[in-house]
Amino acid sequence: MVEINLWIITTSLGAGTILLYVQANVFSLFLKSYKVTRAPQLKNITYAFTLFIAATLSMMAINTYLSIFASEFAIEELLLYRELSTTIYNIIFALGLFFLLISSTKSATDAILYTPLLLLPEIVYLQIAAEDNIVELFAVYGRIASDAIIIIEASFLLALYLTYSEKEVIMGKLWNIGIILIMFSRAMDLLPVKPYSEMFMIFMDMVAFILLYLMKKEAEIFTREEK
Amino acid sequence: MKYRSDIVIILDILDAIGEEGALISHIATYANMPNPRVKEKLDVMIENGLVTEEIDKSGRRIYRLTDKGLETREKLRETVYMLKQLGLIPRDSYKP
Repeated sequence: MVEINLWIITTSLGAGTILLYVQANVFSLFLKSYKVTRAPQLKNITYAFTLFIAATLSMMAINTYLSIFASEFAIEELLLYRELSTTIYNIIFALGLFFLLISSTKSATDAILYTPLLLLPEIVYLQIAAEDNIVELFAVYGRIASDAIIIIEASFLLALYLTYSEKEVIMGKLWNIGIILIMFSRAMDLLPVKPYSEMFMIFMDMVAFILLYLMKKEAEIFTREEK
Repeated sequence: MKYRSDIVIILDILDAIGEEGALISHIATYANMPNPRVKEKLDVMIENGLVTEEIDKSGRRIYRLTDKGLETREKLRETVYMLKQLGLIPRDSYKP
């Protein structure tokens, strides 16, 4: 059991490093555009990517700490902290997806339509706060709530893709696949297949962001050809 | 009129100016916006160093892109292309 946990911690760190690189790369394009345009839509997208990066950093920070001090933890503690790292990652990631979603809205009124998504975890956390083992319950129920929210948010993003994007372009389809992978990994995380689902989740997020990175590369080629 | 995000409006203005420079009336027609609103946007762009304002021999005000403006136009095209692919802006909101 200890070996599995250590293996997951190490692979999460590896995947996290790649994830961080691609997220920072895509983020830089949106940030540069935001600095000159100050467009509200880009502001929300930069918030979204800041949160994605923060999620990855938090996951990596806890896993680095666990990998260094693994021998000092009892197996239950190791399991709990690893679960916590994924729960915190998932919650910040869900918040990032929320900002990505509201960036597509035309007005603040439209954005209000999405706010119930943020209320769901609050209800769960309030219930948890009344219990004794707050940390353990947070790791478990916080994770379930954030998994459910990510699935809902991803389905909204998928609907937006189907409504707005140019279907004849291959890279747009890859983003579609990326969203489905994110949804699938969260659905799997709701099944009793932990800790493998955690590793699967990080890898699927990594694949989804690599697809986004490829889209950015395609956008560079497309605009260069246009000149 | 269809909704256009700010980023598409700015890109339309930069496209209208192009390499040759343009008069405000041309920019307004291209970007499908009233002159005062275009002027407002152009003033911000001048302030940010994306566009310069020159008076030609006939006393007309010509707007030109600076190097920073050209670079920004390219970045914005990439950004808009990505946003279209992500489904975050309507597919017909920008046609280069």
